[in-house]
Amino acid sequence: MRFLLFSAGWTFFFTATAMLLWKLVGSRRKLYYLFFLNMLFLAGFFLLADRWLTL
Amino acid sequence: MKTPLLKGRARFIVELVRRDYVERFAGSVLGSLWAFIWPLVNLSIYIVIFGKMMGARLPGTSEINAYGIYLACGLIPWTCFAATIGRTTSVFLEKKSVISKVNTSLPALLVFINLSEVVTYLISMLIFAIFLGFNGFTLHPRLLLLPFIFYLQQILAFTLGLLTATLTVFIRDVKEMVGIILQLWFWFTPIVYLVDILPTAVRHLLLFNPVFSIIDAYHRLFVFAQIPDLRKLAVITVATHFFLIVFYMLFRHLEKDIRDFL
Repeated sequence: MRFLLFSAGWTFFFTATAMLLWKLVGSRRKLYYLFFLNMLFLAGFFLLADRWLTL
Repeated sequence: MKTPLLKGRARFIVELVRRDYVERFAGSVLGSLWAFIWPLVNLSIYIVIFGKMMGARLPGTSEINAYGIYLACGLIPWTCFAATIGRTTSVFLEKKSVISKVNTSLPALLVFINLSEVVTYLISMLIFAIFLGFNGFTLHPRLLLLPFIFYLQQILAFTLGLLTATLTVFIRDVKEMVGIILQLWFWFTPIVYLVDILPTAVRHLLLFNPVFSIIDAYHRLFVFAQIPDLRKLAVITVATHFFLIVFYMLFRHLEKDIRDFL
């Protein structure tokens, strides 16, 4: 249950951040920021899940 | 004022995906039912031919369907990954009539191929899940990792597709080379065989094969009931995004030339 909440919460948090970024940042650079944010989202998820699941 | 649900580029991509499916089965009596028949036939071949008729078994298990499941959960993601790269490689050439007539976003064409293959993957996984359900497979929270692993897999396919699609416009041979590389890559990834049968030296080389870690994650989730090597997946994530940014910069640099060449 806590893993379900963790993955759902993590996805929601980053989707909201990405949408905010899309609205706020100028179009020229926003895809690069989005790629970087996406990397943080996925890599962060795997690392946290690694810690979370082995506890 | 009413806001449309999908605006501009997103609507264009969804329309392309829809048209892709309509065109694929246009004129056939069974129509889009074929999208379900194909994966069903493939899955039956893995299970019946390999598992039951040829008697292939996974070492350490007496389960009759284990090898079929091992094969299916390697082949389904690989098919999606390889088809995404294979189709994106020539997408600019195939859609050049659209590109020259309308001011189309070129990356949107790559996203459309990716989404189209995602739909095929989801249909295959649905049929696979139904089979697993009948086979007594029990759901476990670790299966929540699956969407994230699949997401990484398709970002990797998008990244490589971005490079090959860009290069194919200038060097047509790239399309043929991609086909050969994908074929070699398939056999260099333990999908139809187990990693244990490889010599130690080759096993070390597998560390440089990102698809191995992804397919291995599927095997661990569905066959071995283990948690995948998430640290390795995190490393692949960082490397994939690094190359995504580099290839995107290259694409932006060449975008005008791509339009002129087409």
